[in-house]
Amino acid sequence: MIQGPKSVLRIRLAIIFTVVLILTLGSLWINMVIRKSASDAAALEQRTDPDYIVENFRYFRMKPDGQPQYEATGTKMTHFPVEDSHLIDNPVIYSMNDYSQLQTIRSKEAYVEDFNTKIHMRNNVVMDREPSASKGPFRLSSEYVLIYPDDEIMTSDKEVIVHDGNSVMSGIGMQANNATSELQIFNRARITYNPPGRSKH
Amino acid sequence: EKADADKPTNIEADQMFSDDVKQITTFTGNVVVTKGTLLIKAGKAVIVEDPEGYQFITLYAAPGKLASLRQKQDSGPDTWLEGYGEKIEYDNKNEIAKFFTRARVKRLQGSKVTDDVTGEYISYNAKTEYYNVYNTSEGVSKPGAGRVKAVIQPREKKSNK
Repeated sequence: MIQGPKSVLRIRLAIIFTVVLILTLGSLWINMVIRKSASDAAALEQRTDPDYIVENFRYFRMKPDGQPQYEATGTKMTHFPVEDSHLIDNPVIYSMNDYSQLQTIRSKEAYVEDFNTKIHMRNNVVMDREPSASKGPFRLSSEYVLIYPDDEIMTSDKEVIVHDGNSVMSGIGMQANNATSELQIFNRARITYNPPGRSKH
Repeated sequence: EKADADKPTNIEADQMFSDDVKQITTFTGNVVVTKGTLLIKAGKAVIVEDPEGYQFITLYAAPGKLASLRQKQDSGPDTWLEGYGEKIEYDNKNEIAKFFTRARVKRLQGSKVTDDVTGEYISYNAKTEYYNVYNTSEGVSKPGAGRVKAVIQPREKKSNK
């Protein structure tokens, strides 16, 4: 082994060379990664068309405790990857409220977004709640209803008409909380109570 | 008038809040209640519905105003009753209206006032068309409490032919 100034120089050069090599390879790799994710995003951005379609489906959703939360059916479900959203034709959603009354809400079309936490029901929306021992049938109809299934809340900024036992309510803009059985109408609220024994269905 | 009893009750307002569990519905903003010839106006109304489907309506005047009620009477042609108060309670089942605080009831024939009564609390029965006036808002007259005032115009004598 030759010891002396020449070998020290050679070691120093080897170290410098190795560092430069690592830096070069590293920047090449980073550049590649950036370019790949950009192209992926670009690909996604280009992809506004659906990536899969399901026909005549039934979809069950369970609560964290395993209890059924709701069941949804539809004649067609189209998935759009760009927003991870779904468009459903002829949707019907079944759920039970805290008083074990069956609730059904249907419409011509529904748009589901934000990881199924927002369901926009559009065109001829009708919600029915079956009667109970103390309450008559309940029916709510509107052209648009936005459902937040996890919060059991429904809202609308359109006209709503509610048939509830002996009364008929209407107004523009509403919020209904199924968990607390509260209903708010925000504008031009109207109610007609028919004399008992004579309902107006 | 008696025909009002079978008519639907309509309520209109700016906003509504309904609690299905407690069976209480609250209307706020320009509240108008109509039932046949009965017309009530107020700033806020709270409706409680009994199991049979009758409503008990409590109406509160808008700030600085009085809640008002107007209804046609059967006791004569073009005879109307008008009632005012800071609060009105209307029992849709027994058709009794109670006027509280600055309460006033007038009976009119056309535009002519035939009765004009004021007090702390006036209770009016639409079926019998009778009203009672009290000088306290608890519905019991006490000496030394508020003042009751009644101006009753003489009825025109029916000419016997």
